[in-house]
Amino acid sequence: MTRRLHPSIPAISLIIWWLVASIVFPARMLNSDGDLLRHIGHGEWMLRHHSLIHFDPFSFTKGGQPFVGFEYGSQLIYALVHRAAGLAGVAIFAGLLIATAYALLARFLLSRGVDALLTYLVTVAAAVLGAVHWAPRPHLFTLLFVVILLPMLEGARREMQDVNRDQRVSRPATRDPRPLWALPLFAIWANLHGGFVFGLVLIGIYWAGHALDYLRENDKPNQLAEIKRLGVLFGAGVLGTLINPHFIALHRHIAGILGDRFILDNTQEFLSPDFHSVVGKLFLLALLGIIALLATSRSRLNGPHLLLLLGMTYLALNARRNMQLFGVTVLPVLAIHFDASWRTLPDWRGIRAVFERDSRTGQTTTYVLVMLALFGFLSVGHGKAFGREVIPNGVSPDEFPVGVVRKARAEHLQGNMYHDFVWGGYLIYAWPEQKVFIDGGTDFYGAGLLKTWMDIGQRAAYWRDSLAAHNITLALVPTNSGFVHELLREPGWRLHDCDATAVLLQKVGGPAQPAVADSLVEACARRPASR
Amino acid sequence: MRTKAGQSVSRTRSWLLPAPADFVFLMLTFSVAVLRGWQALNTDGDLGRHLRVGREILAHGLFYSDRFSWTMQGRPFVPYEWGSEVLFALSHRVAGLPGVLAVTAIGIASAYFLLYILLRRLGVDPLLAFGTSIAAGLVGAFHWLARPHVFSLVMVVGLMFLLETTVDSRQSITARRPLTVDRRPFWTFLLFALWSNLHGGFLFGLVLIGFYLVGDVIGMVLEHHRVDHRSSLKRHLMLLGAALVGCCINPSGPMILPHVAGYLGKTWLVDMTMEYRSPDFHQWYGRVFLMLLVLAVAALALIRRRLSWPHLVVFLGTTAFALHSARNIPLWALTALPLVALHANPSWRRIGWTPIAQMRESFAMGSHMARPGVWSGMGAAALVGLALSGGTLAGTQLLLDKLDPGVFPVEVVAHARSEGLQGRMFNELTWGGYILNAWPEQKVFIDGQTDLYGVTLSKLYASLRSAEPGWKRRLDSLCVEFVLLPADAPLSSALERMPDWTKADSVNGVLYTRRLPSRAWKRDD
Repeated sequence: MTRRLHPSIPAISLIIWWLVASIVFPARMLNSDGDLLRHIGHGEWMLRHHSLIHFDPFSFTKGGQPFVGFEYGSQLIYALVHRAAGLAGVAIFAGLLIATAYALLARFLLSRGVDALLTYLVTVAAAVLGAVHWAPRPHLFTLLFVVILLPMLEGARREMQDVNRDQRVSRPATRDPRPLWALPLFAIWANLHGGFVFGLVLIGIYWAGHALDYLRENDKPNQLAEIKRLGVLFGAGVLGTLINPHFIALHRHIAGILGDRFILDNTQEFLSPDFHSVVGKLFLLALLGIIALLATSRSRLNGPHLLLLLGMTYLALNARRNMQLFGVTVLPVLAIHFDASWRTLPDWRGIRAVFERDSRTGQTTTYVLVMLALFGFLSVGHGKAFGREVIPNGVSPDEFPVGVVRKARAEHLQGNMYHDFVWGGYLIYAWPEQKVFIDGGTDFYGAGLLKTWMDIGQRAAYWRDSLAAHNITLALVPTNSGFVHELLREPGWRLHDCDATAVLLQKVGGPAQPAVADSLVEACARRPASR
Repeated sequence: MRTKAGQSVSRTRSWLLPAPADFVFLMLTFSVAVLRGWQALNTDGDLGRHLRVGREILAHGLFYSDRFSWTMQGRPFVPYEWGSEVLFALSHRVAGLPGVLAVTAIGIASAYFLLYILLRRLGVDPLLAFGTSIAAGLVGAFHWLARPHVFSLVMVVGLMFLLETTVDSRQSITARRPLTVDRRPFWTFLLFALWSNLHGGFLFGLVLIGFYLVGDVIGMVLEHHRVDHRSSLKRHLMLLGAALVGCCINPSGPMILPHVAGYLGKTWLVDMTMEYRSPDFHQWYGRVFLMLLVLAVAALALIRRRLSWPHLVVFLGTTAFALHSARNIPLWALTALPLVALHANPSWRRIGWTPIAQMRESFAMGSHMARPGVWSGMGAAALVGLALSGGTLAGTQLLLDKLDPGVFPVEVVAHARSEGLQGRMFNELTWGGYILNAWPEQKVFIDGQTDLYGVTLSKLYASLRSAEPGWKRRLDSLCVEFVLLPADAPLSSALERMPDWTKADSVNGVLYTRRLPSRAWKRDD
């Protein structure tokens, strides 16, 4: 068959999502929270000291306490990318991870014989659902690794059954991916992000699904073979996860995170989805669409796919961050299942035929190289091309206290600081000499300190005592927060610096000045956010 | 009379045995009134408002302008829950808070009692019907509050009777003289006429009929060879017409519809109201709902027989509602869940696994031997008797007779009232209803009836309570003379440092007072 110059569907996925993530949404990605900056800060520390972090060097609340750097691998990678190409480079790299995941997803579906148009639509739907959690953080490696794991979970493709049962659609079988490949996969995964646990859970779900089919007496010999294969896959995966600097302590640490209800209940991404938001509504649509399909289809899901659907529905409704993983697991397996039914639908204006034809003749490598060259060029320019900024190379001063921190650092201001939670990571990144109260790594700080931080910010009972107990002499908080007014009315607190984004207060002594508090803050709010 | 197994049962014995429906009723009555009585009375302050409105109506008749707040005084007020408010006020007058609890418990338990009856009438296996009713009750338990919506629970099940039972089935089950006239439009009219005077949930009833209609249309389009979709469509259209007419039989007439529906369009208010937020699946009620939802999806995925189009639309629609707003979860449990049980019934009956088969058989035998109603009636009567005796039994307070002073500012309000304190007060929203009831001389800033207060005032309240920048200026411009808030409210903390405010602590709630010359308040629209 003649290969044309048009891109293949995986190439289209790569192009679209890399452009969207890195060029359309980089500001959103870089400013979503302070965790990226925390990861870069941690990575920088490890590169400077040529060592993993074993004891906390960043905070004054938990300084010197034992620290489990369970994402050290990705932190090092992000720090290296940052050294080479700045934050713009980090946005480009994150876009690459995201785009690669969806490109591989498309490739997987095509290899399973799924209709090309359906493949494209499912990949788009998965990406839209996943966009809720597009942030340059270690979990993007989990997104990628889950997609890599899918073929191992699905095993060799067998003959697929058409809706009418009389017609069996024959497609070339795929090779059975060797389960022992799980060992290096999980070995790398465990050193990058704690999401490897999810990978093991997926294997468990598939194993249970095949066991269910075995008990239901569906094709017993094949089910038994799959049960054995997945058993080997699971064992190899578990062995791989032990290859990390912390050995079994890594697993204990992650189990501890997942078992801490207070932290999970007070961390945005672990909350249940908000179906009032746009993303929540899209997820709701996806769920309802799936239920409608199941209820109206004559073909029934096999055990693994059914358990995967139920399990991922449970996980996604339990924590909104799992919507992204729902997209790359449930949607593709449903596409595989319903592909035969999809093919019986009328081909409107021959679009399906066009996609099918192009999927067999499209180019992938060429376009990958072109995109690598394009983004490589942008990386070298730290997000600039021909003098124009295409990708921002810094965080937004409207979201982070850029100007106030720069000035405070230049003045060598020191003291125990209470600050906005999200800014903890930024402080680690931009003001490394200043120790933080807390940051996004709540697995380390624990529920107790998180609650204290919350109580102070919400002016709960004894908040003044908590400030005193930690000897807080500096406060860096958003300009329009009620906390600013409160603190300015307290004896000894004075305004040190401010702009429209942040106010820096310092405890210098003297009587309270409640009368001027409002006017001071209003004057700050009128100043532009300094860069 | 003989059981299915051929055993002879006397008519007398069958009335004396408690039926599964009676177990549902008794379990839920006990749960609502005794086990969750505290939650029913103390979860929010809205009960206080309903009691006050009910008392006003009993004393002076219906009223159409606000008389309880100083912020919205004289503004139009739509008494769309007057029926339930009068019922609550009457029960409170006769038996105090135990009386309110009794009415609430009987209302809620009746809904699930009727649900069991409905499922049995539709031919669902007794054990499955029992399990479904209990599960539906359990998942709705977080919303067992002494508020008008409990009547909507009963009405929804009533509507499901009208939507699901056919003329034929009623003829075959009741075995009475054959019915030649379909009286369901009439009953629907009556149902909605009553419902629209009890609670705004009648809107959900209209939407539910709409779901059936949509399902009929889809069926007609996709399965045009089947004539039952057309007849079903005609039937549901008649029911919808009857319902719409019935909705107009209330003091506000047809205007009740835009008023109730209009609140749902106020996005900010809806998003700020806890019960309108999406379910929190970290909470126990969320977990129960999640498990049931997953089970329901599994049932739909596993059962080869397809769900009918109307039932599918109902399931999808009510699931969307429940995921959008937690308060719709009990309604999902009374509509979608029983339809799934009905759908799963044949498969359930075919389960051959011995433990389940035996349990099923025993339960069926027991249910055939008993007639529902007597034990439920006795239970309801006992509960009423208990309420009339102050909620105590053998010296034990089984039904709460007072609100929790740890939740409401009981001490502060009593003291302020005895001191004759009056003036412009800024109060905690969830205490507004309590203040209306316990301190009738004092007008509130706001309470839970946010459809009356609107978005502007609600936002103003939120910004003042949070002591957002400019709070002092806004408080001064409103001429607020005293503030009643919890000690940990940001505004409480802010006022503590202000020299022109004095503070009076209590067990729960802090009262700050200031004296200012009275000025006319101007709404900042």
